[in-house]
Amino acid sequence: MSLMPDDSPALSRQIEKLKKINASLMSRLEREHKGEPNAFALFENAATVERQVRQQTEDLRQAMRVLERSNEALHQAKQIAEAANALKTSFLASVSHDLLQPLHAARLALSVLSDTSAPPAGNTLLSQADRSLGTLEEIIKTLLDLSKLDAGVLKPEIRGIGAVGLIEDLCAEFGAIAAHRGLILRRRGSASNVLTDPLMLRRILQNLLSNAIRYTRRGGVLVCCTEQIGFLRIDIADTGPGIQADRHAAIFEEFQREDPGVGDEPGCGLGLAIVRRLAIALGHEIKLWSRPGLGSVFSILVPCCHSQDLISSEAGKVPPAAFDGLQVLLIAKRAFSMGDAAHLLQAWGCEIAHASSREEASLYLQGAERAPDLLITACDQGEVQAGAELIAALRTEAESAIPAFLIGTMGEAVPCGLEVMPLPVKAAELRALIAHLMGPAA
Amino acid sequence: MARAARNTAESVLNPASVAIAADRGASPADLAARLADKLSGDGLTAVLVFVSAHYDAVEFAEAMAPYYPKTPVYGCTTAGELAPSGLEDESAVALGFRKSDFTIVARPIFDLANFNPENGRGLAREMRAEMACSEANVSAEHLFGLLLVDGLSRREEAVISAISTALDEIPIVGGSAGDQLRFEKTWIICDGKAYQDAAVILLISTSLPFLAFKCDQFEPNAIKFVVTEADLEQRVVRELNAEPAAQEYAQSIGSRQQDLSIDSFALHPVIVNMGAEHYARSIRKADPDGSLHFLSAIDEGLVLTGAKRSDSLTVLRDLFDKTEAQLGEVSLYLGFDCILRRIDAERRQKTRDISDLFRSHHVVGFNTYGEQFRSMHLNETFTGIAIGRRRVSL
Repeated sequence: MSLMPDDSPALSRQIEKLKKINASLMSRLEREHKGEPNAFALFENAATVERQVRQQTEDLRQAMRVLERSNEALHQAKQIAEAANALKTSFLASVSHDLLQPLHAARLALSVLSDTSAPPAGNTLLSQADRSLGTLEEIIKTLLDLSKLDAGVLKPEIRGIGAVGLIEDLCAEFGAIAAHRGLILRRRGSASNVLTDPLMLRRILQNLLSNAIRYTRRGGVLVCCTEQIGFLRIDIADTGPGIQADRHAAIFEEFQREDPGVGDEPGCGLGLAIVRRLAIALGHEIKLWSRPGLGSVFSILVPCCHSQDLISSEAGKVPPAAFDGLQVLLIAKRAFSMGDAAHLLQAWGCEIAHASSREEASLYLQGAERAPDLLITACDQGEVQAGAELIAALRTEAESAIPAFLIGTMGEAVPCGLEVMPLPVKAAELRALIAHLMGPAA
Repeated sequence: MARAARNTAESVLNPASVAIAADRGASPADLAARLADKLSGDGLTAVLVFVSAHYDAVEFAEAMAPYYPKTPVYGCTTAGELAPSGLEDESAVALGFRKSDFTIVARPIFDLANFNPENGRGLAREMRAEMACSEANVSAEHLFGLLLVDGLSRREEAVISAISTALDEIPIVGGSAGDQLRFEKTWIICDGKAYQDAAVILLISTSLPFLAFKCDQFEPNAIKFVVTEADLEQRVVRELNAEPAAQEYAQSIGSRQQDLSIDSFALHPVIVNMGAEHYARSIRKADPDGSLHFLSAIDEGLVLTGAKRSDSLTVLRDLFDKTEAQLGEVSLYLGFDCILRRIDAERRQKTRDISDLFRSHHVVGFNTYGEQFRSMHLNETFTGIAIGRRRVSL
């Protein structure tokens, strides 16, 4: 396009205008970069800040909405899970209680029956029946423990103990069983002092040892203690069939068990489930190494402790005792909840008095020549507290701190200073507790 | 005139929070007497008054003071009033803030021509400290600020920027005083006197729920103006696109320079685009030499865009709906509405509708020469504070 001479003044003017516009725009850009403040720059800053604040507010609001929604979902899921857990726990507790009570009665009846003279064949049957009932009792107690661990009722009491005594005891306990099955049980390494709940650790090791012996057909089991930095590692190694790698996680679940092989009695499938829960409660790490055909090694890492934290674990060894002439007041609402225990006490030479209520107990105290030597109160589920109050009231009436304990369900809060003997009552435990309460004089 | 015939004498009994009186008078003294008759100072912590520039502001301020010996009166002149009855002219609206619901700390600023931002920030911090010494709830979510400023001072940006910096997260809204579109003198009322070149800041604490709001909406068109010559201090643009500004603007709206009026400026706003946001820069006057006078800061090299205002009624209804959804029932909208929005509505025969909408939503305030929202000085917006009802806790 050629420029006509007539256009040139207009074009020049146009060019001049554009130059000026361009110059204004450029000068503003330059001033902007220099940050020279003027009123418009103040406004521009304000508008920029405002936009950022609004964007941030909107972002925050959205983030909050998302959080609120997921919180709600989490809360609901938690409530459902808690409800299910509570239901399971209470179900297990009541089932365990209802099963344990008749079982307890049956075993006591068997024990009394075997004390009386019976033909040899009868004795064999009796001992078989007792073993079966014993297994059943073990399963129920384990289930109850699992439910209590899940519910957080069972809390570890961590203290310093010498691991040597614990492991020696266990090896002695299981040595006979291993020998009976033609297996060798060996102990190796020196055990140091550890920080743990001794009862829980004992339970873990018992389960591991019992499994090792149950599944091993040839060879033996080795309990090996190795000190690592800050930890004592206890290995329980067997020459059993070993466990496939893909089963390593599954065997720690409830009712999962390996095939024990022909002729062997199977476990209930709860041993490792309780081991896992106890280890979690204690904060001890459990490791498993295993090769099919070679054997398995279960290891537990227990933190070490300094010797000044140690508490003697010698207590609890019970000498056999007889209680000739010991006056015992039994308080039980229903006769059957303690009737069989009474037989045991009678067999040991105790003089028994029964009371079915507080009023009867008071009448007995008023009429008796002297206060009884021992008070035993049987409590139904949920009545441990009431039982403890009854004992306190009777002690006040008799103006004497009469030795006393409760027979009832485990898992309820134990009133301070009172022992609770769980159902079913075992003869040895009952005897040990009475001996402890009566002191050396008894 | 229909408007003159309407009864504007109103006193809304609103015992919950803010008492409102509105009226006209034969003279400033008569107006003051009528307002005072409807709005007793008993139990009030402060009175806020918006008075038409129809009345002599100095006389009115003096006349009000004796009626409120124990209650400070703050206010300004207007370009129109937002009264309980709707949009009004040549009237006054007074708001009494009850002591039981509000604690107010106020400070005037004089001699805005020599305003020092550092002093402004110091003043705002001083107010916060004084509020902290009172028994009021001083956590930020219970505080808001109000600014009334001389609408011809050209210092709104400096003032609002300084104050909002010192008040941090406390929302602040405000309006620039007007003078019935004469653009000669606008007045700030404080302590029985009226001042030019002044501002008054109120820091208000309340347990009532409240929300600062701002609304405007523009649809930009293809017309672009580059400010090629301007007097920034005076907010005067001499050239747009290297042509006399008034001529260039008039041409773009299909008009002639000599026909430009406040109506043209109201119907054909120019805006600044910032990101997705549009901010109006209002023109108030065209000089015969082709200069355009603005109501907010401009800059050389600034790009202005022609725009059309979106339907005000829809935008306002949307604002009321959103505010009430967030705040619950609103007892009062204290609003600052740009006079150009009102002129635009009048030219489009929407005045009655907007007046009805304002009345039904309890809007009171005045028509401004500019609005302040947080740290910004704006034009052609409707800005303010919505005050809710006391929330009854179950």
